[in-house]
Amino acid sequence: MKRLLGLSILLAFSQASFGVIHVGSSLTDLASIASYVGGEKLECFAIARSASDPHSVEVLPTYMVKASRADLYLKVGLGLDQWADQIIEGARNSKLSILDCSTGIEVLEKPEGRVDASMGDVHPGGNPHYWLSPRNGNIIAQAISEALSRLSPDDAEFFRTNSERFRAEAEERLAAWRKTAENMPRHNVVTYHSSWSYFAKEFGLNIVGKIEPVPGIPPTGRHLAGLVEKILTEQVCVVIQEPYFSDDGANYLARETGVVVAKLTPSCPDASADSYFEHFDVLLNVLGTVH
Amino acid sequence: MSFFRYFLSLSLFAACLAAFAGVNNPDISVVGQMRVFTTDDEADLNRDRAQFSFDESELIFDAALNPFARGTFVFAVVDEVIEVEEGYLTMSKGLPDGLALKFGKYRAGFGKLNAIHPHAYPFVERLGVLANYLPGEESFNEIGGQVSYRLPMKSDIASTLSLDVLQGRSFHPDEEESRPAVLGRLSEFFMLDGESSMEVGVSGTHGVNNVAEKTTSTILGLDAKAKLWFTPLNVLVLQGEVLSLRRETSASSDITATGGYLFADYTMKKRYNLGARYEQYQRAEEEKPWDSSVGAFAGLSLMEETTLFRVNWDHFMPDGADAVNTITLQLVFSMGPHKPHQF
Repeated sequence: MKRLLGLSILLAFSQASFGVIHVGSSLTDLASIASYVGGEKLECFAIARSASDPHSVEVLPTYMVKASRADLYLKVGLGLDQWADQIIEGARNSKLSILDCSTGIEVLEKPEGRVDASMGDVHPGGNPHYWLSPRNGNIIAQAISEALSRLSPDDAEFFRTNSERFRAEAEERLAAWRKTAENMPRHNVVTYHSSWSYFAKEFGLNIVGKIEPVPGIPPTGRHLAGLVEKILTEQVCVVIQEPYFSDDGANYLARETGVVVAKLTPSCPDASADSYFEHFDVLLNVLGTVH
Repeated sequence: MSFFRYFLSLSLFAACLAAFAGVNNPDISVVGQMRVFTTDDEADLNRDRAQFSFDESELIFDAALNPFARGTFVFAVVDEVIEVEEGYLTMSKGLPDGLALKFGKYRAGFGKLNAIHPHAYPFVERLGVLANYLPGEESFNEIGGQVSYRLPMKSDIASTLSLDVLQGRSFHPDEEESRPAVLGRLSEFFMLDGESSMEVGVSGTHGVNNVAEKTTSTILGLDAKAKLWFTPLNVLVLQGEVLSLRRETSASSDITATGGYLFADYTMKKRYNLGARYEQYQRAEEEKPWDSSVGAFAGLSLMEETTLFRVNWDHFMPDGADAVNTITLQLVFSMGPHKPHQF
């Protein structure tokens, strides 16, 4: 009897885990949206950590092992996560589907004409930090829903319903976040990198300068001196600094001008379903308290 | 020589044709290396003077051949001589899960350093223990095929087993006849915590060192590498290998020798690195004299990862002879997606 019971439990467990779709993602943000859309029918993991630079991720064999068990991999695209190609290649997984989540996004800062390294680490396809707009989050959720439906057609309605729920929650939260941003005493900001362009557009912030003179290139003394003047004349309220870039420049600006430096990561902490929205809560709460 | 020029011309022509055909060109990169060095080596006519050297440049082509395979060519250019350093095809899709194949000419995956191009080392010189024990002049580089299999594991440990069947000429470069060689490697890669990682591996290769005498050489190696992250910008790499050589000779006794190296490389704020290394090995001679060397190195990525300056001090202590000091300033720069030193 005990054996029969054990066998039944084993069978039940096998059936439950059999239906789960395994999803890998370059970023926690995409993984979090996927977790929201896929619910209990998904197991998600993200490669780049929230506190590490998504432009340069060291490709580790353990990432390939994780991807070898995945059914779907979510790429940021637009040249941000070129390293993901090595993970996908190294996964040695013939059944792995790839979704480039930048498809359908209205891309900002797409350079015109010839692009070369004299312009810094410019992405020829445009600014890839598009997940920092909740409205782009809706587009991502929709694309993920469709990709998951192709993998599991029987659950298509479930995924579609969840992506609609995601859209409704994003719109509801967006109104509150915008109100917080509107209440900031000043809206001029300086950022380290171009990570915050979509965020700034969404919440009415003006990026009046960047610590990097061009993408991927650390600042010179002359460039920082120009920023000091700009911060003072344009009454910049905050310098937004990613934790994975050197903060020497931001600290210099703070010393010279008294401007507040907010260390904020562009990515949410983990792949859980709530993480993407809660990250906006944190960002807006921090910026909302800057005076 | 003329074959290689012909081959290079053909590759460039093929790339142009591909562009006209509406097919994407391969990724193309060029890596250049320049050195200024001074040495107190009594055997060097220019000792104690600054010497300039433009070292081997690399021209790299890399592209998907189709949905299942990739092709890579690395041409080395030294003193107007162009040669195919590597040219290989890899397949990792369309095969049973976990399996990958590689065919062509490539740097053999013995240990942790041999497969890497020297410009990606944190120091300037090739280590003496590898130069003395591994077959091949510049590196253990062979024509052959590799089957590698990632062993299925329940955890995220990457356990990879590979077997190469090689032409074997590195073991007997001066002979007209050739005899195949084999190389095997087992490596285990695992995370120590969320960021830091460790890899351990064992490698072994066996080949004929004298076709007429039918004598063979066997080299066994044990390697370990730990990458310890302290902050997202600061990382310490500890790496070492131990090699053991057994070379049969036409004389009654075989030559056996053992040696190894260890280095530590600390990178700060991505752009700066500082480290030290030590190696000690028996020369593969009957008397088995012990040579050793100690060194220190520092690097600076000028702005980002395309341009790198290195300064390197090497103190070589050959058994029974005076020590030799060499100080080198190296510049490595690259155009294209293949970087000299990845952040």
